[in-house]
Amino acid sequence: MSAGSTRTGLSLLSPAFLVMAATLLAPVVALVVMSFWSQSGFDIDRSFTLKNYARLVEPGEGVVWYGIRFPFAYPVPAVLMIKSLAMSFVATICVIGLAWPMAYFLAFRVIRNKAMWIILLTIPFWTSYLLRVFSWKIVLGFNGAINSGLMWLGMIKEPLEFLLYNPVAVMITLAHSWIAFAVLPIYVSLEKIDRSLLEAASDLGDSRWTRFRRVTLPLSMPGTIAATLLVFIPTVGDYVTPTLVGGPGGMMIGSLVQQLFLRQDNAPLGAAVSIVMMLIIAALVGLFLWLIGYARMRKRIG
Amino acid sequence: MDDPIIRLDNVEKSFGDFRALKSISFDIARGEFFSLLGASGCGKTTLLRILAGIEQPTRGQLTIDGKPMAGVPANQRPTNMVFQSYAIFPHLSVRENIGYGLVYQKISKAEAKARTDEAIELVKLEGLGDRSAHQLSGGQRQRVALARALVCRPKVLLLDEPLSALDKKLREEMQQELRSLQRTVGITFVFVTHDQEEALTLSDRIAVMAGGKVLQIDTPQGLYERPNCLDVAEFVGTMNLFPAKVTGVDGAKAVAAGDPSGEFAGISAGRPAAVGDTVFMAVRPEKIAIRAGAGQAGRNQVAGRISSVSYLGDRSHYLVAVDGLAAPVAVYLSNLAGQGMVGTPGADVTLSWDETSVLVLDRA
Ligand SMILES: Nc1ncnc2c1ncn2[C@@H]1O[C@H](COP(=O)(O)OP(=O)(O)O)[C@@H](O)[C@H]1O
Ligand SMILES: [Mg+2]
Repeated sequence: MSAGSTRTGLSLLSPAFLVMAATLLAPVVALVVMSFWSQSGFDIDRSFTLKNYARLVEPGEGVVWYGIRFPFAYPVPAVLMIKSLAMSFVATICVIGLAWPMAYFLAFRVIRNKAMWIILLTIPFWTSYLLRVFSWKIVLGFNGAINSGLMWLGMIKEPLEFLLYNPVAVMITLAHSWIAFAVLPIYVSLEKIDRSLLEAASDLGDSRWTRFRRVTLPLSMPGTIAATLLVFIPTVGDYVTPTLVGGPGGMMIGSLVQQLFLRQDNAPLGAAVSIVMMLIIAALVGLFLWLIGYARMRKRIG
Repeated sequence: MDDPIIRLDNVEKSFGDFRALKSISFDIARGEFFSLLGASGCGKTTLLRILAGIEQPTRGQLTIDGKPMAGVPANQRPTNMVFQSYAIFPHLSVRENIGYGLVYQKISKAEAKARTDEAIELVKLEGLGDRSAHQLSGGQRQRVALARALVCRPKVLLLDEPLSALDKKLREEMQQELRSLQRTVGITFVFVTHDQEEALTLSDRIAVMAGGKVLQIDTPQGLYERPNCLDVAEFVGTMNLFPAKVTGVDGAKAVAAGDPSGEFAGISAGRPAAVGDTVFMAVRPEKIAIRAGAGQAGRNQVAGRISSVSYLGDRSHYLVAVDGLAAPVAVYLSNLAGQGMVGTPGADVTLSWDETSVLVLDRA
């Protein structure tokens, strides 16, 4: 690229950069700055301090959660962090497990009306996230669709209470909310696979299954990884779903941040928790990409 | 043919209502370099894919190496294919691409590696084994595709226009290499091309196809000298066509009155002509003698006027306008020692040729 066209490119990008800086970078910077302040009563003390971060790792009696010991004086953030990661992980696995066959079907089995299928897939997204979560509350609730249905069929006498307000309800709701986001990148990467590659694999001796394992699966990896990250990263910090369908047991780290900011009036500590959460997620994503050899793969598949 | 490697018996293929292949029957001999030649869309790729087992014939029998192929999937056929797009696996290195099919051969790891090395050497890709597909040029991709298929030692190698994506110089180089490679490995090649020159250069035999049918199967010389119909005559090389009406027949020999003028004698190409048939009297440009001056018109002799001359070094191409003919007559002359140009555009000339050079073709 010549210097001139680089400059043109930059000036074309600059509106996007400005918007991004304003909406993404600025809040993060604000958050970082705030995490070094402290709360004193109703006021915020703006002198630099590390005490918010120290609080998160301060040793103490701690708690045991599912056999894991959290030896901190204030163990709630650590426990919720691990719990959120675990719940997002399970939700992500479910999402990818459901989205993959759908994307495969769309890419390889649907010949006509592909556009219609894709639009059908996005229909749930015409309503707001909040409404979708609420609809799960209606499905899973005490007087919800499942309970009334089962009672009407005479299979149960009392409504089942374990459906709603627990981690499983959160994971089901998260999985449902994010599935279409996962289908699309996987679909694109499958759709992009040149059909003659599959024919060549058969010609060279592959059965349908070995061909899938040796060609289709590896070539779908960029889309599958994108889908995994697209679901995992935002769900870890989600607080709407746990608040609405999680109950006390289904609380996640996002719920804590929200409480710290709004109810407990300790925004600096909330900021510190957010920053730590962001760093942990970034580290995990980096580790994940490194483990699957993303760099090498990108060099090959592009 | 005794013990052919491939036998096609009334093979048909329809896509919905569209008949892509119509009743194809022929044999291919072991070790033959066999080409399928025809314009784009005539069904060459479809036929090749049926041989490979990627596509199933709608009707008819295919036998490869004595075994009926009905119900035998692509991965169990003794054929390998070089795809038109090359179909190089983008997530694998050159070496992994070439070794792709070897896992299904009952050989040791060491032997597989040795065979991959050998194939890499055969197609002159030494030192490029660790590259990935997008780091290769078109010619190199073509070689990878070729090596990947050859390394499996198929009984038949199927090649779908493997050279059409290459530039002219590389294409000619690869033609020579392909031909000598085929002699070295001794495998039957079925080669698809729409380039008649390429087919003539490479093949032992050629099947000329049009509209899903095989028009003629012959050696390159046979196709050029004795095309059996107008389509083949026009597709292979250049042909001058004089419309005429048959006035006399003597065995394969026929005499015809030119339409609108002239008198011709020639040899029937397909079935013998009958008196009253409307035909084309067909003559190749290099069989025509050209003489300065407007001579007497006579049997296999016409008068005309040069409309253009192209000097091509070793030969010259003349286009001669003849009264009553829509298209000018093409004449190719070798520029032999001591032979000057016959004339410049506008000059009157006389064209003549031997009756053994004239083919009588049915006017379709
Ligand atoms: N899968 C298919 N479905 C419908 N029509 C096809 C299919 N494959 C090929 N055809 C048609 O069959 C004809 C022959 O195609 P092809 O064998 O690819 O021709 P060629 O290789 O000689 O250019 C073309 O008209 C093409 O449109
Ligand atoms: Mg083709």
